[in-house]
Amino acid sequence: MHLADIDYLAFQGNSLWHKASALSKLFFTLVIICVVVISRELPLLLFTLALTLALLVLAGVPLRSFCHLLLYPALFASIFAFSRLGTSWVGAALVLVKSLTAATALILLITTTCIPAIFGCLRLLLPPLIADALLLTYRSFFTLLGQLGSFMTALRLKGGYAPLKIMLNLRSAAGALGVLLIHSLEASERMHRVLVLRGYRPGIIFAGKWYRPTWYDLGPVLGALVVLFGAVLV
Amino acid sequence: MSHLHIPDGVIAPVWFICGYLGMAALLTLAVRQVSREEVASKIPRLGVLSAFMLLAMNIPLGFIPTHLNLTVLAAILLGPWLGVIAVFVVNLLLALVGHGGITVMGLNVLVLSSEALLGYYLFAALRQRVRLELATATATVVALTASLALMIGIVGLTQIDLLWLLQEHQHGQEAETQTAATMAPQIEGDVQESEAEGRHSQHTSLNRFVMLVVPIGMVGIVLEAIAVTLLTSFILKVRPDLIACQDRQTEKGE
Amino acid sequence: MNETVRVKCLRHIYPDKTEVKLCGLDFVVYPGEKVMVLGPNGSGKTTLLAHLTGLLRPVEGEVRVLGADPVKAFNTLRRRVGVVFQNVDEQIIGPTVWDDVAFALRNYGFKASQIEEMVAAILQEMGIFHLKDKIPHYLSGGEKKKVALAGAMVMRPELLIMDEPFDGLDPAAKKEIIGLLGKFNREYGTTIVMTSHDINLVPYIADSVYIISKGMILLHGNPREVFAHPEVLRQANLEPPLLVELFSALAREGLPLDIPLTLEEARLQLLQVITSTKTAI
Repeated sequence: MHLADIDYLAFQGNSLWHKASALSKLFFTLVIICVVVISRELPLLLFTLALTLALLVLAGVPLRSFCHLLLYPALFASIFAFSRLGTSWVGAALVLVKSLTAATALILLITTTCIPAIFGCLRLLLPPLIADALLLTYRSFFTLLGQLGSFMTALRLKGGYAPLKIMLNLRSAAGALGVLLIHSLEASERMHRVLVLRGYRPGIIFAGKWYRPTWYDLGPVLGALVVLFGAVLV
Repeated sequence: MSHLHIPDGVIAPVWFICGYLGMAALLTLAVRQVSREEVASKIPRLGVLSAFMLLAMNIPLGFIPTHLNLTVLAAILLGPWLGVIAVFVVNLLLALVGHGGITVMGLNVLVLSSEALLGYYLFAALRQRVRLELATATATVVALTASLALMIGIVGLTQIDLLWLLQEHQHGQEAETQTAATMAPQIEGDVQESEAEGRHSQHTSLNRFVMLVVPIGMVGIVLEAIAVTLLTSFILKVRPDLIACQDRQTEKGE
Repeated sequence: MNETVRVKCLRHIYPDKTEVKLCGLDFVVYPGEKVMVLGPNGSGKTTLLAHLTGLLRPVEGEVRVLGADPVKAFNTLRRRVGVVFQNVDEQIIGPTVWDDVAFALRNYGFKASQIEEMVAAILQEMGIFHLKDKIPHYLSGGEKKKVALAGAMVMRPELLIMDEPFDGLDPAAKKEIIGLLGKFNREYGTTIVMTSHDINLVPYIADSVYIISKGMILLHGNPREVFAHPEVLRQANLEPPLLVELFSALAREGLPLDIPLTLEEARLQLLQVITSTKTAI
């Protein structure tokens, strides 16, 4: 799952972009998305795409491992562009570049920012219940991922998986999912006990130290200003 | 299973803004519907089920270009409103990894929430009358068919604007090379002509879209219905209390 | 003497109709004691602990914790009782170590400056201050256990309840946790109740041991007293430690040996026997 790889990259990375606060990077991403949505100028969009790609490389994100995340929106964009626009190559290029730019900006954000930090900022906008749900989902995802990994290994070892036997694989996957579901629901009951014992109140999970500004924030802020300046000029 | 994979930047702002506003309204309603006591007891379940949905989405279904969503299952186990919140949580995480597009997230949440709400209430209505498996399968099929129709409807509506957006771009460029005052009637004529063409091509392309999406969607609905029914009956066998008494704190231990 | 915990013939029925009983001897814990509850899987250890925390209400029997009924006095007791569950992954709620350790303090409305101070103090005391900004799922099993323990100990509880604290840990991590528990017990007088099925750890951590099996408290005593009844241990599917087996066998052969609790004790006893034999020759 990409989420685990992305999470690890954001956690391990040590670039200047990694060190900037989540809030500044969210601001940068928001600016890029706005430009993508509003602008219809190919040169500006190409410049923005080049900038975000360069930042991705500078942040030490291995493009080869993450290019599939860019290809996915690009593929949908191409289908969209070519099915709708017939002969207009400018329009097609516009759709493609827009989707790639937005996707690159998002990947830059999540490969350089720990997901809880992003949630920490979103918490300022979201009701406490939803903010807590986001964090618990994030924590549970990694717990369940570990369990699913063990289940799948056990399945393979017990001959429950064969590349060409689709029915066998489906049956095994359904069994693994069923067991995992029961495990998750029982784990949620134990988590509930923990929350009760530790005096849980909604919106309290986050100590909220994520958005304190640092000097490293100059990077994303300046980046966003450059793109905004470009948009105004064009 | 129905959610939009529209790339960012191709849908007119008015539509995704409407989507986000609709999502905000729905989430506000959802949060208000969940009582304070329910929060502490259900929030861990909300977390693990959202995580479970994310994991299930990653299970490849062979050559079929679709994936499980398990929205109806989440709604059955969480109740309708926490189901809506689970839909939001899952979509936000997906959008952050570039799956589906961040701008269409609002619309996606609305489409999938319709699945959760319809699925839950249908299940609740049917389970008193028919066997649990039949209730689950029917609720899933109906909810997913409805959300598929909603998705096609949204694509139909938003594409009109997409075409307009891109045509404006082309005409804008032409207009720059000519004197606006003298050429105005001609451009207007062009636009009208092209709008008519646009409507035609939009119509045929929506048809093409429907022809492409409906068969895949139907296969997806069948697979999802099988998965949700199997999982629900599995829970019924192992821990019936998880379905039977949703609002009671359940206990299990050594 | 005041009792920290007293449990009298307990019976609980789970929603799936599973009935768990815990009768036989009374379960009594005195202030400052380190008590280990030993028993095989399914013997009722976790049920006992869940009743001590007030999470379960017994159908029959009496449970008193710090002089109160833990179900009725749940809200006051939970601030005085720290709990570490078996699966720490389900216990660590916060997105970072710092957030998690601060969780209970924030819930109980401590001031930000107090929270900073208390969290830093417990992390430093446990030697995990360097982990404070780490995301829990990137920690090792031993580190996670320490974080969960820090989350429980940050409130300086009078009673610490731990379910299988040594489960899945390597010997070095076990040793560290044992050291930390001993320190909390010595320095803050924390009473500790823990469950385990690893009998070999008893001499290093417990002052008092309860052996339970199939819903019965079969035996209670200090480690030496408990090890003197290998037949009861076997009845509870527990194998006495090898040293105990060896010394019991040698004692039956007529050698003047007591049951040793540690390797050092065994060494000294053997040396004494060997020296006295040499002198006799």
